[in-house]
This record gives sequence, C-alpha cells and structure tokens, in this order.
Amino acid sequence: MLKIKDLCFEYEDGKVALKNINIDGENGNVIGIIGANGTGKSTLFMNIMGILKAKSGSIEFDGKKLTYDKKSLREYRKKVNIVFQNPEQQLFYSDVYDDIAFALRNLNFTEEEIEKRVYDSLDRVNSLDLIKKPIHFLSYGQKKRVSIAGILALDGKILLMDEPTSGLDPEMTKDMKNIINEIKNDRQVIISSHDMDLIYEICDYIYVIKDGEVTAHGKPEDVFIQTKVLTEARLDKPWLIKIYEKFNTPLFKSEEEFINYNK
Amino acid sequence: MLLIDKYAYNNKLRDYNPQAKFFLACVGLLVFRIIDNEFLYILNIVFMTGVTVLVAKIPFKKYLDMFKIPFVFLIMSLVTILISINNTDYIYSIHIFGLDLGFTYESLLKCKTLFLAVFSSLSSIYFLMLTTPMIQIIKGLKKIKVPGLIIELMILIYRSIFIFLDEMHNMDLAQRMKFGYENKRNSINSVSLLIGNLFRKILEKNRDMNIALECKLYDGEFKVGD
Ligand SMILES: Nc1ncnc2c1ncn2[C@@H]1O[C@H](COP(=O)(O)OP(=O)(O)OP(=O)(O)O)[C@@H](O)[C@H]1O
Ligand SMILES: [Mg+2]
Repeated sequence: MLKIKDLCFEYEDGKVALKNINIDGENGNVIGIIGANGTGKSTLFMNIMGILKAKSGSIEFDGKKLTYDKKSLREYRKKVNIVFQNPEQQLFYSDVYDDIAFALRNLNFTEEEIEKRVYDSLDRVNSLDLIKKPIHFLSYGQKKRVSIAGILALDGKILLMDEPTSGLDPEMTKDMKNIINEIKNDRQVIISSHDMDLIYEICDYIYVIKDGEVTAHGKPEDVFIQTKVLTEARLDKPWLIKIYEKFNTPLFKSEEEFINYNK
Repeated sequence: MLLIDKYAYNNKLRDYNPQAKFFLACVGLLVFRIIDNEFLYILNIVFMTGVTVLVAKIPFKKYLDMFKIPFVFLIMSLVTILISINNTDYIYSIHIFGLDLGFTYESLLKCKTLFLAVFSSLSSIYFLMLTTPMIQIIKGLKKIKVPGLIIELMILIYRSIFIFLDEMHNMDLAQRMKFGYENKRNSINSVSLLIGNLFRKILEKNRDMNIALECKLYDGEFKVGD
C-alpha cells in the first residue's frame, strides 16, 4: 500500500513543483490524479518512482519509508511500476517480444517463463498480433499498448499510468478503459489524466492538483460536482455529470448505464 | 528509419534460423578469407547475392545501390596499391616529372584478388544485415562469447542511431514547415540551430533512457536471452 505524506519537491532551477502532497493508497483501487498541463502530475509520478528525490516529506510503501540506495530502489521497483506518458521512453529494444522480455530478463526469469509472460501480457492488451513487429514500425497507440504489456509482464503491486489515453483515438481510448478495468483486478492502478470522462468512469477516488498542490480529493461523484474547485484547477466536468446536473436524471457511473436508461 | 533495418524485418528469411545465417556469413567472412582463393570468392559472391536477392527477396536495385559507397573507398585504395613508382617490369607506364608511374602484372593480380575478397566479404555482411534483425545478430554474437562490453556498445549505438535520425528528421521537418531553408542566410542559421538543438535533445533523450532502464530493473548488463 502506498502512502505519500507532506511531499514537497523542487526542480534544480528553483521551481517548486510539488507542495505538501498527501495521498493515501487505501482510498481506492483505481486512484486518479487530475490536473491541467504543467501542474505536476508527471513530477509526482517521478517522485513516487524514486527517480526524483523529494525535498521533504515521505513516500511509504507497505509501511516502509522509501530510501534511495540502489538496492532498496530495485526491490521497490519490482513492486511499483510506471507506464510513462511518452511510450517512446518506455521502449528500449527493437523488437516487441524482446522489449517486453527486457525487464523479465533483468530479473533472471527462465526463457520459458519469459515466453509465457510475454504472450500473456500482450494478450491482456489485445496486441498478440504485434509480437514479432519491430518497435519502430508501430503506431503511437500500438506503442502505448506494448509499453503497458511490458509492465504487466512483471507482477507488480502498484501500476502508475501517466496519461494512458493521451493521443489515442476514441476506439483505442475505449479499449484502454477496458484494459485498465482488467488490470485493476490484480493490482492497484494510479492514473494521471486530463480526460475527465475516463477518470470519472474508472476511478474509485480522485485527487485534484493545481500548481503542485492537492486542492480537493474524494470519490469522483463528490469531487466532480464542486464546480469552483474544477474551474480553479482549469478542468472540465465529465459529460455524465453535466447531464446529471442539467436534466436531473440519476447520476450515471458509466456510458452503458446512461445508454440503458429509460425514462 | 534505416533502409537496412526495414529489410532486416521484412524479408523472406527473417524467421529462418539466425545461427545458420550467422554461420553462413562467417564462412564467407572468415573461412574463405583465410583460404584466400579467387574461385571461392566468386562462388561466395554469386551465392550470397543469389540468396539475398532471390530467396530473401531484397530488391536488386536497392541491393546494388548499397555497394556504391563502399566501392568508392575500395577503388580509391585499389588505385594506390595498383600504381607504383620507378619499377622495372611495368606492363603499362607513363613518364612524368622524371618519374616512372605504372602498374605491374603482380600488382594487377593483387588488386584483382583484393577486389574479389572485399566484394565477397561485403556480400556476406550484407546478406547477414539484410536478412537478420539487429537483435538476432546481437544474440548470435553473445552465443559465440563476444565480450559484454562490445555487445552493450552495439545495443546502445544501434539505439542511438535511431534516436539521432528521428530527432534530426523531426527538427528538419519542423524547420521546413516554418520556412527555415528559404535562402542561404536563414539556411545557415537553421542548420546551426538544428545542430545545437540536436545535441541538447540527445542529452535529454539519454537521460530519459536511463530513467526507463532503471524502471525496468536494468542492473548494468544487457540480457538478450537466447
Ligand atoms: N526538468 C525540469 N526543470 C524545471 N522545471 C520543470 C522540469 N520538468 C518540469 N518542470 C516544471 O514543473 C511543472 C510540472 O511539470 P509536469 O511535467 O510534472 O506537469 P504535468 O502535470 O505532468 O503536465 P502535462 O499534463 O502537460 O503532462 C511545470 O510547470 C514544468 O514547467
Ligand atoms: Mg505529464
């Protein structure tokens, strides 16, 4: 379980990117971090991964405070994984199979086990057909899937996803939603996004970030009705909330609920 | 996108046993080179070209194009070997500035053998490069116990080539769209900007790559599996 306490972070140039962030992983299985461009979502994720070192405050995993020596970081990163905003960054090898196998090989799995896991994880993101393709032939959306598969192959406890749907078409976005809904069955997912519809539908709990500070948190249906907080954070409301507010219909949690609703 | 790489992934021999391909190329590169026999060289050239073009289905014209650059260098070095000064048994010579310049029968023979040797080695190398994705070549090298440092360098260089080309392509395109190459003056300006930015971008990408490697639990050795 992840717990972030009073986390502050400052870039070398003096820019204060995070101020007193408190996040409690117990609040939900799928946690959303929402905020406009440049509010510090990626910076927060880099801090959680131990890539950037917090100025003050702490990050706790399973009750143990994160320390930054090589050995404990490695142990920590077996449990806590990240899918970067830019899939190019994630992909290292030239071939989909080898790329997914990369982390597994670093952990000295046997080749049979690796093969099994590569197939499984590609299957989970519905991309088995890509297995033999070279990475540089893939489209952006395909790269996103492959980079997710590369992380699913590890059995982590927590998965951080930085903007999993940015740059995806509506169909792919829907697919990604299903993928996340499936992933959450075996690990906790923390998602950053400015796609409010996605966040509303898949998250159990959300944190609103504005200029490096958490300005509101709670269940999606509670947070998304706070018009003032959202405007201040330069965020929009999910369309399901807008419908609820305008037509006084019940509050739908997903598109299906809305479509199946008969007055 | 490198042309060689494209073919390496899209040829009819891609899934053929990489070790066999590796072995075949090594025969041409090492064994024939040690035996040093013209007939074997010619045989190798014909065989390798045949396999690359007819079996792996690499377009013949593209294949020939690839020989152009190495051949320029080859011919330049052959000329220096061929011509000698103030020798006696020339089969052809000219007299300038009080010097006899010409070539002998031996040097001609030597050039012929050398030409065939280089041609044959090139055809072996191209066969391997055009039919085998880089990652498989690296695996092959690892199998024959090439030191880890060299493997690591190969992987990193290969990766960097793509980062470099990609960044350059993107920036060049962006500059063109903003009329950066309209006349001489702004062309020079654009090129200098491109080079400066390229350098910065590459450092940035290098940092990103290190972060990604760490998150993928890299511990100082590239494991490529078998
Ligand atoms: N290396 C850096 N040095 C200094 N400041 C930085 C650096 N990286 C990011 N910043 C600044 O920190 C702030 C937070 O950036 P961050 O990338 O975390 O935002 P984000 O919420 O992920 O935005 P986006 O939605 O666009 O991805 C921004 O104001 C940015 O300008
Ligand atoms: Mg970001």
